[in-house]
Amino acid sequence: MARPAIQPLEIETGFVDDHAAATASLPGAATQGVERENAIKVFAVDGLPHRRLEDYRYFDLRQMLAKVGPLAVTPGADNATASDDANDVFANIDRYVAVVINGRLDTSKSDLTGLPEGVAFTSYADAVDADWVKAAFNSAEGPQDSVAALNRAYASDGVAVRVSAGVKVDKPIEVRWLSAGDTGTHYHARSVVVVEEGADLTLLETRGDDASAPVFATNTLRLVVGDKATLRHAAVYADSEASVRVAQKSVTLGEAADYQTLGLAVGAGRARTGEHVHFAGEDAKGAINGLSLLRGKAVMDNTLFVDHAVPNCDSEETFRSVLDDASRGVFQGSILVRKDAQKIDSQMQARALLLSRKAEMDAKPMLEIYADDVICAHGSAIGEPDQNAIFYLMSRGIDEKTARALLVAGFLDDVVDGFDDGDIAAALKTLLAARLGAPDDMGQEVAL
Amino acid sequence: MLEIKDLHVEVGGKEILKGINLTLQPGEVHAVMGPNGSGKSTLSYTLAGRSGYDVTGGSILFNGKDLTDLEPNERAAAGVFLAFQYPTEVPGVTTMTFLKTALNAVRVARGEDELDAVRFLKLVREKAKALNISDDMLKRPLNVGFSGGEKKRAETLQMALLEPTFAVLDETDSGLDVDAMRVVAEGVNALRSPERSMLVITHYQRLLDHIVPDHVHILSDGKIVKSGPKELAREVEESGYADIKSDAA
Repeated sequence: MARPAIQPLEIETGFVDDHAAATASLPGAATQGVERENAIKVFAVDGLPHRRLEDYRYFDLRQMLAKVGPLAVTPGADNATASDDANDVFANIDRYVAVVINGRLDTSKSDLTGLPEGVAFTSYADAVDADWVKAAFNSAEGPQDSVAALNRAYASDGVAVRVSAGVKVDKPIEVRWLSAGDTGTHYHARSVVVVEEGADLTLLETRGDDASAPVFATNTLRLVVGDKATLRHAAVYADSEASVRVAQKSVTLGEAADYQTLGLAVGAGRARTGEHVHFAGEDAKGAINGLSLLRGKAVMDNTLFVDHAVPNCDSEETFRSVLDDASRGVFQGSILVRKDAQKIDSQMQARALLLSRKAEMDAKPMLEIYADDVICAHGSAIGEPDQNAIFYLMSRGIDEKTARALLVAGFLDDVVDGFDDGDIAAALKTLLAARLGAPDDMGQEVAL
Repeated sequence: MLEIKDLHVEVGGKEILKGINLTLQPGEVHAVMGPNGSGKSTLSYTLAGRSGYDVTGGSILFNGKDLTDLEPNERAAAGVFLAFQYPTEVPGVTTMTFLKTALNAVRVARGEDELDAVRFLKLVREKAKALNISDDMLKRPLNVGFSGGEKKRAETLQMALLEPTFAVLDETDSGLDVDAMRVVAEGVNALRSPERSMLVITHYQRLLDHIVPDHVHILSDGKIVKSGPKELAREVEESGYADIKSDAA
């Protein structure tokens, strides 16, 4: 079918025209050249995704970048800052830290000393030709859209982590994504994390910037959780108003794998996380959670595809948004249960609290089921804070503002409480309480 | 200390309370009994200041101050407490966090200092123990998944912590078996004092065997149709509300 002629945006033309020159200075120019060239050709045809594509219906990337002129790829910098307190959310947790600036791993700012034997940690650029990295990406089922092509075309760097079979990593690894430069920039990071059979890893991500000029970044994250392996993943997104971000996660779960992820968006920018979770082995469990606490004109789009390809797996998808001012939340969730994938238990729920008349939530949960012996449910509810609960709290002496803050924090904490690491959950709850002006949670102190 | 004068209340444009008069002296326990739909819960919500319960006439004087102008939290600070018939579940807010927030809000409003975590925990443990409330319960989200008995014990704990001078107990016996009711009633009785008055709202007389009132009032169709000593409760139990109403007519 003939494609309707769309006048390419300045920024789209820039991505294509600048490609050869810009990628010459990126890591891995020698080995990744051909793949990058092929990818930019795909992008040149498709351009940025827009609202007429179902997947991007509520996140019109083309329109968001329409007035942004051509952006430059800028190298990493010494002065990357992110003053948002969300970036220090895990400061009190004993952890390894990897700092990635403008899509490039900065080893001088990272602290990975003492990583146990059996954990390989390198920059993505250094690992790109390794067989295990290639294998991980070749088996990825993630979306093949034009953002993926752009990411591939400009792939700079990121992290590559491999936890060998049976190794339980003693402390979480945090990857901090920072941006630098005030002239406007774009960059495209790629990372891979493989947790081999029986291994155990907690992966943290924090993302933020103090950008005053537009930042457009894409971030591909490939996660492979092997047989009987455990991966806990928590990410905090605190982007500045100037930034537009698209993260694409592709996850494969082996037999009896245990995967849980919690993405928390508290930033002012416009961001999207597209996640594709592929259940490849039986008896695996996946808990996929997304929380958004937005104000101003912030946008957070969680677009999720869960592929139950094999029997006897459980998945839980819980997404909650608290939207103030003119912020907007998006949830598009789709669960596919294939024909032979019997005994699947899958529960998907999207809820939102609207704190302002101008706030907006678009929720579209979908089930596609071809097996006949499954328990699957989805639900969506959008409303205002519970008046009964506000009255109840006020009748105990708590003023209305604090009562609302407590309720809203509770709405999100309820999901955070399910995270299988108490210290990380507590850190996230402290952040939420601070953002909302709610009293700090006392749950931990009771145990003293 | 509490003087309700010719109180008229509308809910959703419909008049529910049609001229209530009631006076409680310090230390007194009054019971308000009445059939379903007589306005018992409306009276308790109105006293606590719930929005949507519009006072269209009369006044509620509490220690000389008209409560009708005050927000629910201001009434709590002034010393009013409502033990709910159906305590609201508040997901994600642990009971302990809630208790500390409420207690310190009330203490600050009363000109007292805030309790730090250590002093607060000591106090709450002491009071919780007397009501057979475990640490586990305090760690759980407020009222979420609590049994009927747990909810009412949690209400009593809140009352013990906030130390109101006037407490309304709205159908405190509903949803409780005899044993659970006894525990709650003991907790309430322990809080009786010469300074504290209580309004016990109930459909059945059985609660009044445990929390013995000084006076009993019968509420019917938004008005108090009969008042008397504690024996009036037993009369109602034996003859039913229908006869009482006909007495008044």
